[in-house]
Amino acid sequence: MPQWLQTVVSSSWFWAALALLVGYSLTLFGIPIYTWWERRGAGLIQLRPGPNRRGPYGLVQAIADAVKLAVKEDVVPQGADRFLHALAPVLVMTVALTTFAIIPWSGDFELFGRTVRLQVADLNVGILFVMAVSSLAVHGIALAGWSSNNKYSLLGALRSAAQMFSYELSLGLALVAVVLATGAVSIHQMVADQIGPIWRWGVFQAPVAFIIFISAAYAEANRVPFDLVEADSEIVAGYHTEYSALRFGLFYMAEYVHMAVSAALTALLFFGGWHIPWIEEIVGPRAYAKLFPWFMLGGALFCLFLAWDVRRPVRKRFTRGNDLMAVLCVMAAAAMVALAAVVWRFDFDWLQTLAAMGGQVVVLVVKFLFFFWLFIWVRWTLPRFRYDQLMRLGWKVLLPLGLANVAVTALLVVAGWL
Amino acid sequence: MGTVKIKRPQLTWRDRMYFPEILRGLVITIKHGLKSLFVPRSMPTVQYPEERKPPLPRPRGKHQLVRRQDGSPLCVACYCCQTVCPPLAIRIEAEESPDPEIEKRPKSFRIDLLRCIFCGMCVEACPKYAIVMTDNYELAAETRESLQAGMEDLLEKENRS
Repeated sequence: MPQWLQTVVSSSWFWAALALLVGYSLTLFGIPIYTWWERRGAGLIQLRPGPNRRGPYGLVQAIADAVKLAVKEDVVPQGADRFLHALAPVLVMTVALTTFAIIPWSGDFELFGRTVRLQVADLNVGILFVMAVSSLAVHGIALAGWSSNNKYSLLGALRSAAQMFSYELSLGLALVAVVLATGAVSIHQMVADQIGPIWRWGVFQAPVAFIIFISAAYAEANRVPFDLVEADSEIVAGYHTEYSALRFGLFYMAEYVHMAVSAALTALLFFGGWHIPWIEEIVGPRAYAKLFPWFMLGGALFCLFLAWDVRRPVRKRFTRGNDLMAVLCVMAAAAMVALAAVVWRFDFDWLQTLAAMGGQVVVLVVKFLFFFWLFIWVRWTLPRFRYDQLMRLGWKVLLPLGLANVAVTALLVVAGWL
Repeated sequence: MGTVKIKRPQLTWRDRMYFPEILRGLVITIKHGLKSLFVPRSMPTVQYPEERKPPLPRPRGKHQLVRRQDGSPLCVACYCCQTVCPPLAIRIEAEESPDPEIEKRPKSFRIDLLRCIFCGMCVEACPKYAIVMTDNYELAAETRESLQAGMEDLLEKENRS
């Protein structure tokens, strides 16, 4: 490898840009897929197929939705505060995306004498930054409700403010317990603490914190069962009642980005991040580099399955472009097999390092996708909480539980059991 | 008059914990989801334009005027259907019939399908069984005019069942 390329590849800028790419492909570029996923998932759970007409598996529906949002008329209601009305969705979206900056997608690796990690910004305050920035989202929502000049929007915004305050406390306390247990504030150190057997995972180290965290995370993302903020059967659409076109789209996307952040944090803090338990014992040193070709082969097999499935007559019945998708799937499979073969065959140090990194990203993304699916799954399982139930759960159950959990965890840490 | 005490189901300790019951709910929904994913036939959805349900007996779709053997309408313009029609969708103009056996025949017979509520009372009212209803329920159209059914339209044999 030439010297200049080594300098580029081992620079932190390069990895920040790469991490940005991973982060964006899981948030901004992923959103059309998530909406499709949510709609199909909702359909299947409710014993109906969901959108299945536009493109193979109805995948093009996502693009159709996006185009619809983009070309619709952007209505600003009479009497609205035009500046705040325009500012609110931008604020919500910016805040949601900013939290993604500190999520690490792989562990530390030595590359050409420098330590690199797939992370946009390595802040040593780590998890505190997530807390601080994600709680700013409530400002955007409150502004949206206030500036719309609509009673339902205002009600939604008030609910949102109260709900976010209530659950932020529990969320913070849950994280305090995790910080105590792992002894780190920076996220990649918290993940590093979970290496080894499965009981090193945060969910087994701090199970109560996990329950509080996931409840509070659902409330923070304004998702069912805590979606009182937009409760469509009570207050029309809550804070975004008076939004249309791309401004509504920004709110919609921000919700998915919030879900993505919560899912990534759940995977990182409680489920070992990019680690597979016992992997070092089973596969030996450089486990992820050795696993990477197998991941790629698995992906290739899945793509080939898709290519077969999408050409079946039952799939071709309602949609066009199935053959094109089959071709693309076969090409992706071929690329994955080639990548696996290259990693398998050549033993360059840098190649193996990159493969290990890729392997860790795959592990984390799989866990991330599971927790994203959990959001969708829970949405179509649970009914909405009533407002007083929400407040009772937040203040009378989760908050005392969180305080007790912090005390118990602290005692355990002092006693040396954690 | 006493107050009726209704026994409300008491939440057990397990129910108050929420989480076991939430997990139970999640298992139920994922069972439904996986069943629909792997056995698509288990879904009751009818993929409409391609698949249609078989028509039910005694359908109440678009009307049809019955013809005599010689092809002329069986209708004798008695105005029974027009009189009974609740939304006033039927308009008949009568004229003298050339046949000495028959007093009147319709000069024009119009049904405004946009007003029609498909109650079938015209069919019940008809003394000659001259108006029936078909199973053609696909009456979407792009203009209002095309939903004003005239006599030729109504006499035309529906090619559905």
